[in-house]
Amino acid sequence: MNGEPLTILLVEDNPDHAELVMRNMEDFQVANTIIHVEDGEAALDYLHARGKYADRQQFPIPHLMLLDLRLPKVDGLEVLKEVKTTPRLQAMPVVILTTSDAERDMAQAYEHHANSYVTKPVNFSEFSRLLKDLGFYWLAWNKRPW
Amino acid sequence: MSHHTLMTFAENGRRFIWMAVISVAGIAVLAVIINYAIATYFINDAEDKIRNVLLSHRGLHLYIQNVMHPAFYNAQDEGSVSQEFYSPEILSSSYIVRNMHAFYNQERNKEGLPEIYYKMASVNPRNPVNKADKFESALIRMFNENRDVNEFKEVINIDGKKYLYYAIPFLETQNRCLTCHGKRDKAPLGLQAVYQGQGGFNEKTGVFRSIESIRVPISDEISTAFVLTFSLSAGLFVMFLLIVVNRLLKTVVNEKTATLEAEIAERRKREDELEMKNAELERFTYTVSHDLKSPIITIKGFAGALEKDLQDGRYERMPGDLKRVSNAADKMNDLLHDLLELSTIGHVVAAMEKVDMKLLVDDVLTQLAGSLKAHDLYVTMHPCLPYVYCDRRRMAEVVQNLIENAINYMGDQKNPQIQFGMRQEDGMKIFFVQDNGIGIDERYHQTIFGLFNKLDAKSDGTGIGLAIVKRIIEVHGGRVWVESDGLGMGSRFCFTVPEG
Repeated sequence: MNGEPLTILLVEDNPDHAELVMRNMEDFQVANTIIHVEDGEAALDYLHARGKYADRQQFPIPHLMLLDLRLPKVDGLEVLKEVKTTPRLQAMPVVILTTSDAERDMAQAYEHHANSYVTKPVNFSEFSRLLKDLGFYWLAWNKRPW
Repeated sequence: MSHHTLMTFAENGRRFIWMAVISVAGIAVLAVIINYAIATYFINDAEDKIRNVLLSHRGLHLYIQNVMHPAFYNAQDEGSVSQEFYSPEILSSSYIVRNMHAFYNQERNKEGLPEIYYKMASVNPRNPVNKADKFESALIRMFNENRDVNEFKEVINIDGKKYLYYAIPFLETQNRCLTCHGKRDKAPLGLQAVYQGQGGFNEKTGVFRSIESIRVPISDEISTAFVLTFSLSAGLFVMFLLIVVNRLLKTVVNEKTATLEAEIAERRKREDELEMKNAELERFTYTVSHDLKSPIITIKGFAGALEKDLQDGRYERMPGDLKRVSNAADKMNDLLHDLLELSTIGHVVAAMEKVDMKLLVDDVLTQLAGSLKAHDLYVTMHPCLPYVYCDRRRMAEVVQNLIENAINYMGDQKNPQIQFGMRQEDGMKIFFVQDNGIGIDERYHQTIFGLFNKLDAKSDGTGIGLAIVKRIIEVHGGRVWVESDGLGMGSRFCFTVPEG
């Protein structure tokens, strides 16, 4: 809470789900900026400051990444792997936010050092509370090394 | 046991019988040869024995005539013995040899050996015991007429027993023999006194006047030969039988092994297929649960959002949220429809028929006419498309899906073109739908055929079209793949349908 602008990178291919996430996050005002990308490739472009995300001032390394698993082009798991094996990025908290409650997905996510794994609740109020809790925990309570 | 195996068993049985017949005949011929060889060996052996005895007897004859007679005549000339003295015990070689043979048999008896029958037979004997029978007379005549024949042998039967009969001509009559065998009145008086009548007199020189004959029993040898032959043949037969049975069993076992191996291979293939199906099913269930859950979250989420909008009085957001709910419900409906479609492909393959590919593509283009016109598109077609064997309705679905795909992923191409083409490769006809749309990065050439795998989340469709195409083509036994030089380079979806 030192007043620095906080950025969340939301990687979500379903525009409706993205809208739900962003609406809730805005309501709770935990982050200054939410950047939404629709596939894994765009996420990696952003994280590596490539292409249209080349400007680090405008597109800083996020303070939290909400990552869906099933993504077009580059799969969520691939994005996770790359983040956690890139020294510059690996400290960034990655929360897997997915519809899948398959054990295999969860196991693989933790295997590749996901910081948290949550499934999208069907119930709207639960969805809201989850995002609120997530936002506060990772952006307010959690201490970051940078 | 399959029909095929039964057939081969019957075939093997026939082959076995034929081989058995041929070999039994072969062994029989062999047995005759072996028996002849063994019998001949024994007969030759017996013959050698007989010849030895006869030669030894002849030796004694010669000693008497060449040594004893000159010594005796010398003694007569010197007056030590009367000119008229005669005694068969001292002077007749026939008498001496016959009696010597009697002693020989006596000695054989002592040793437990069978007696050997010996006879000197003469047409004109002094002693009636030496009288030749009809057969012996004929032999004497034969030897006189055929001077180059110097022995006679034959296996004869007496009282059911087999003997080897062997005869040789007695020494040729010479001048000196005539002292005793010439005219009766010229012979020594002692001789005339012992032998009455003309028997043994009036002989001529250069003639065989008798034969010496011997016979030995060979029944034992012949039965030995028979037993030997029988054992050998039986041994051969058993050996042959073992070989044949071994070969027969080997054939049967080999056939059985081949059948089993084929069965195992088939089973393994089925297992692999089943495993693949299982994996596919697992992926399918996973994808379905994920993709069906997605619209539910949207619906429930925006229902909640609507409630909140209402509370907050944010009415301007409500039509948009309602639209999202409605779209999600539609999306779910589409998904369920497509899933049902996909699930039926595997087991509903209507009868394959000969289908004119050109007519099929024409039909599809007619179906898509509205959509094509809306995008200002024209599809060019290979001029001579062949007939293929396929499920007509399914194949139409494939073509339709691929052309729709080409329309949907045309991007902002100013001069959009779609081609339904065909090319030959390794004798295989490859059909393809080619476009000059957005193209596909090589990384996604495999994944795009997976269920709900969409490269562009915003694009139309449920992401199931290519999965359906793949499924249909695979059910037809063909292959489907995509060729594209990458983004912006258009794509070419190719598929094969096995002929016939």
